[in-house]
Amino acid sequence: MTRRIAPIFLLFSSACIQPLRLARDDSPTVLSQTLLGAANPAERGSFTVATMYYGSGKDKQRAIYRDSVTLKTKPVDGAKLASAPSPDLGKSRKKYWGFGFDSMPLNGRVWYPVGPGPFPIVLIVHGNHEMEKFSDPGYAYLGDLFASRGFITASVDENFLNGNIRGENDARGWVLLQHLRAWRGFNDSTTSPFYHKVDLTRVTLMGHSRGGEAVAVAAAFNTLQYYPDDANVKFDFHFGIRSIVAIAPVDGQYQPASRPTPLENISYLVIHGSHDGDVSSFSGLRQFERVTFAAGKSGFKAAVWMYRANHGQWNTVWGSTDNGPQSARNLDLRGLIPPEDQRQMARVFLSAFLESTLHDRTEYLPVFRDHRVIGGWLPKTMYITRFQDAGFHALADYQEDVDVTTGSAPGVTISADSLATWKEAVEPLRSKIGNIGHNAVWLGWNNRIAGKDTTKYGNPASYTIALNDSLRNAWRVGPATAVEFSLAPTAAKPPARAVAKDTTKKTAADSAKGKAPHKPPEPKEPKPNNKPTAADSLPVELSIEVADADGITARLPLARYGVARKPLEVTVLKRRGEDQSSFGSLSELIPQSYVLPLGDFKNANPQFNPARLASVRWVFDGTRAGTVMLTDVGLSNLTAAFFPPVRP
Amino acid sequence: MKISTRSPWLLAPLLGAWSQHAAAQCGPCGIPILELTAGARPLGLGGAYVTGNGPNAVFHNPAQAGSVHGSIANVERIGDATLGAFATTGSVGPFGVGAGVRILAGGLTGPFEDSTHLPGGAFVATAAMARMVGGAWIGGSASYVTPELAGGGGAAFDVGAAARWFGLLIGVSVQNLGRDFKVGGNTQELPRRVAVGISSPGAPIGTYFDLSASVEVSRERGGAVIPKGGVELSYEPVSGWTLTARAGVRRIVARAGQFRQSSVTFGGSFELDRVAIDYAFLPAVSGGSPAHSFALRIQ
Repeated sequence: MTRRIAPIFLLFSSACIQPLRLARDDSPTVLSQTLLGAANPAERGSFTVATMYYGSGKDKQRAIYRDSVTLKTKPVDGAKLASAPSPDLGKSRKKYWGFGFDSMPLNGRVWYPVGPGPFPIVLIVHGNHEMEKFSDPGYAYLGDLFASRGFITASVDENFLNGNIRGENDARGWVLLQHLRAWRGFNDSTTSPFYHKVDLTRVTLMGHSRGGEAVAVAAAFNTLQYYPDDANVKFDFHFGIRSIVAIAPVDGQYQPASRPTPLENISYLVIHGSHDGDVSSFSGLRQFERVTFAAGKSGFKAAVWMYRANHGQWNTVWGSTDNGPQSARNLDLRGLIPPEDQRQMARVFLSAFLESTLHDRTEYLPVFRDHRVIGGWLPKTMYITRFQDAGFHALADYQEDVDVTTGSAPGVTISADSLATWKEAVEPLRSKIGNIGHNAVWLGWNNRIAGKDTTKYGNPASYTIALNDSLRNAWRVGPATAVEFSLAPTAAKPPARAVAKDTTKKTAADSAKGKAPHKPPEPKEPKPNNKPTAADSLPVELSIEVADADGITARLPLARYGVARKPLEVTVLKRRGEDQSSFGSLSELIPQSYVLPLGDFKNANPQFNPARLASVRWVFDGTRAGTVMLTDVGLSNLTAAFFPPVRP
Repeated sequence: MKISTRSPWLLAPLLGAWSQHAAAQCGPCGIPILELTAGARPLGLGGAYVTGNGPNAVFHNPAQAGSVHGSIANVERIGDATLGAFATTGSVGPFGVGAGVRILAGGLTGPFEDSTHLPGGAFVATAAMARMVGGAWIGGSASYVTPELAGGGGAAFDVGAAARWFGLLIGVSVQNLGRDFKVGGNTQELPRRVAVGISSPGAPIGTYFDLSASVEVSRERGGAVIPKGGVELSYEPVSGWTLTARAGVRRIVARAGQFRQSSVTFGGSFELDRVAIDYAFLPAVSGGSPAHSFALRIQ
């Protein structure tokens, strides 16, 4: 009986399992070079690393924070920021932990460089997970690396905020600030091993999942006098938080004063995996779009999307089980990148970010402008990256109005030629609910002229953003200025372009009657073949053309500044067809950022005068038909440090 | 007010299985249809189902009528007799509601201990209702019982409760309350029982397996104490597809007028999302026949 049933069951169940589908990996081409002369930031630095624990010294569940603490901390009362969903759950949580939200401990495990200091400090905080499976040990691989490179690094224990509570990311962020307050005490105390060794003007907060939102909340709270949801709670932090790192963060679970968390004048890096089985969309892009810099401030924001990375492998405790211990029942784990590769990516980007924002080492800045410069350092998979520096001036971020012909600054005008699609809308997320909260323009074209003759093409479609003299002068546009924008090809392909109507030919009869001229029947359009072809997976090719006020143009292929991949379809769930029913789309539409120095155009055409830039034009002259989403178009006077000298 | 029930059409084939039988003669008669374990899953668990969920709970503990909504059709072949059962559960406002019928068709000569009692056929229709009160589900049901198809019938009532305690489900039910009644001159004795049970939720074993267990103790009319228990091992290779094996054991008290039954039971299920096929098997005992039970469950 069993012999009969088992094969039948296996046949049925295997038929039910999604076949493994992975996109063709272009990394052998895209990541073929390492142009940066600096040392790989994922390699250990020169400092000897020591470790210690600090905490309450009486933790019921955590022996290390009870028996092994070098420095004792006082608990904090966060009862106004966190609560259990029911009194019963509150009781059971208190029974388990031995304390309530009114007495939360400040526990942390620390890796620190041995030396006189003072050293910048990095706090890492985990996100939600089973509260009994402690998450804070999972970042040792980062703590050890960062400390070896001269950063005091503490992985903060917030496991008591895990489990069955919601809307508590404000508490998670607030606890982080309380940790910084404790560190201020460690730094000020003559009996502390960290006496005058902590540079609290150079702080990075790093968070994973809910912790990824909490670090942004903490940075926002850091500048406030009162808790936005209850002004009876006073804030007085004002630490030197220079940068934020969000690892696969959620967004919007907590909204201060019912608004998305704003961030100003803080460098921001967010990373996310395509195969995230928990936070299924790149939600951190929402916060990315909400990071702003005031005029004259420095810094940058960057985002990295890693193909085949999941949610949990950036924490060694979490691993591949994004959906709990039985994840393999509903998540397709076969496509995941090896955990060590995923963590190596974190080492590279996060370490480079800390070096850039805390040590002011400029040699790693190009990493964020164009990740292809460190092809040899990165695990071989596909990446999509976003970048914007503090000096960015938006020509068109599509946020200002509903007029598609106006830009985001006075004196900017927009026009288009032969586009089949030209519309502005909010950038979508893969999940059915929500979006980026930021707008973009969709540009679709088909350069082929409709009809039987499939070799007949019209002029390449184009989209132009023009700026006037005063804007050019105000922004000090010159050879060092770069055109910046983010672009994502979509899967949409408009039909062939309609034949242009010849309005010069009219019959005498038509003229007399005032009727439209008689038209011979159009030849029938061949039926479109909707089956995807090999060409559909090829990157979109187009050119960027700049023109100066004298009408002199220069044109460069976009491919020189990054690959414009078609959307990468991702199946995260194991069951056949479940991704299609669970998500709005199989692919996440993530725009790749491109930075094109006007100097490069000058090199292409020495007659072109960057200082008199008049327009930027997207010319769809490479791929016959397609659609792209374009956003965050602007100009920036990037420092030379963003452009690495080409290796010999 | 929201009413949610499923697939009442499943009743049709069972009604078609109804057949006529002559009334039997006896002294104080038991009512076998009320003593048979209705449902393939309950049978596979050795009858330990006072904490069971799903539509079959209508026959075992009315407090569980609202636990899982759905419908089930059971067919059980015992010797040359057939027990059909259909049940459906849903909700009406704050109430869990359920309804079920049980039909016993065919002769029952083989399985009987004394081979003298030959009920021709029987029918039971049950309506149940439950409501959450202070963290526990409290329920009651009323059944109309026709012990022999040719004759009249009487009423039987169940009451029950179920509540979670440290992750376990605890259930208690008192079944077949009411006055004995006469049909064709024979006194029909309701098989009253009090049952208390406890069941564990599925505990994961490795990545793909879950193990759960149920135990129950009942005190039967006449004073017999019957312990029962069962375990379920489920294998779920992909979300929504589950293969379950189950085994049960129970004490059998042999007495005249009672069925000769095996003390061990076996069963299994194949589940695809909301649809499941259940099977249970009772090995033959000396002088008896094996029993096979099938069910189609939608929940």
